[in-house]
Amino acid sequence: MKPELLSNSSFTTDRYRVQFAWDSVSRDYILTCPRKYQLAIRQGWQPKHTALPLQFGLAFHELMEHFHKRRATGYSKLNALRQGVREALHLGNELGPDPKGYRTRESLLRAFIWYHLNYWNDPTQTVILANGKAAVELSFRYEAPGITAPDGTPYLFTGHLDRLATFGGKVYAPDYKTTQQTISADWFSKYRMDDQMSGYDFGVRVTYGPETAGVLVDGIQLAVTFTRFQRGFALRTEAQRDEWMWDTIRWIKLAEEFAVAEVDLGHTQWPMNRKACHHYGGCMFLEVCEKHPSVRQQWLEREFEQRPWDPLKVR
Amino acid sequence: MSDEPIPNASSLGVLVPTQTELEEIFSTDPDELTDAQIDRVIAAFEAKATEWAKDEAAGKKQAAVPKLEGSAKDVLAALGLGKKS
Repeated sequence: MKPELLSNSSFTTDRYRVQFAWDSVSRDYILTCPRKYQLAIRQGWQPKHTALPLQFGLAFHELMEHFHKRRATGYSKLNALRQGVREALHLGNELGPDPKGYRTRESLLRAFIWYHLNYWNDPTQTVILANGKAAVELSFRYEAPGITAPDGTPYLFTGHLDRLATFGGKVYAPDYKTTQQTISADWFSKYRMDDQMSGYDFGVRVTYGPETAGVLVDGIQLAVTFTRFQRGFALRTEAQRDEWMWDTIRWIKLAEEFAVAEVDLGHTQWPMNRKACHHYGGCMFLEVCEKHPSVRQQWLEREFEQRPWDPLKVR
Repeated sequence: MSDEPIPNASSLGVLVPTQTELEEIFSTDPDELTDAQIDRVIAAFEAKATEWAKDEAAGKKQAAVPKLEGSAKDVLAALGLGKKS
């Protein structure tokens, strides 16, 4: 496989081209499978068409972001809702087909409208920052303690938060999660050890102060004829935070080790984690990895396109 | 918190559209839609939410009825059914 490395500001410019800015997406790839990370992040291969669940989730996030921004600039709740419905119609028309009916224009509209009906008198209130702006779609970045890339560049953690909100006198970082699964205590339990939530928890405390309490998970169950909502928390103890940071640093150094071996030793094929190939309906690179190494590049070029994922890019 | 009323057909002063009317609204360029048309969309989804909440409450109520145990004959008898010999 020919390693094609595209320009990416999150990578060092030395011969190793090591990723020094890490977000939850990049971490998810390396934690799942080094080969998947190599293909998706280091080489930047992404499916030509965005998967519908991701498309739907992004659309819902966008609607909510705009709603909260409008509220913060003086729109009444009803006018912010009206404008959101217009946007939902636009975004819904751009969704790919869903023969099962879970993620359609109607379910996007329903999720957005029902969410606001359900939380019309929402006890969470968006934090207004010192600059007067609503704390919505915030980016954070901070240096990882004590580690640098081979060229001396400090490693960074980066991320984006949906918003900061007060609830019960404490500040939380709410995150919307759409799912087809029934939302229950069991569904929330998966966020107790979730890497993305740990990253948000750490990021929000480093950036906005230790008084922030953690992540509030806004669960949205998508069904064919209804949408259900429930909130839960993804909280971390100090010991869990320390452990997450220590673990994450070691994973990042492992990725660095593979990048160095690729250049110095010619180990161009990063190891596969074969236990992860069939997780969550199957890895997007499964068909590529199944093929003989000599034809994998052709498969990549046929099914994927190179779109670098850059955690330093401000959304 | 807000003192704005929860939007529905009554508070918005519109009629809940029929499915055909709703499809007509959906087929219009969203930027061309008037606030009144958007309000009808909101009213339609609010009506569906209310209907679904009622159904769900009824479903839960039904599920909350304790199961009758015993033979089929006992169960039928408890329900006041079954053949009378």
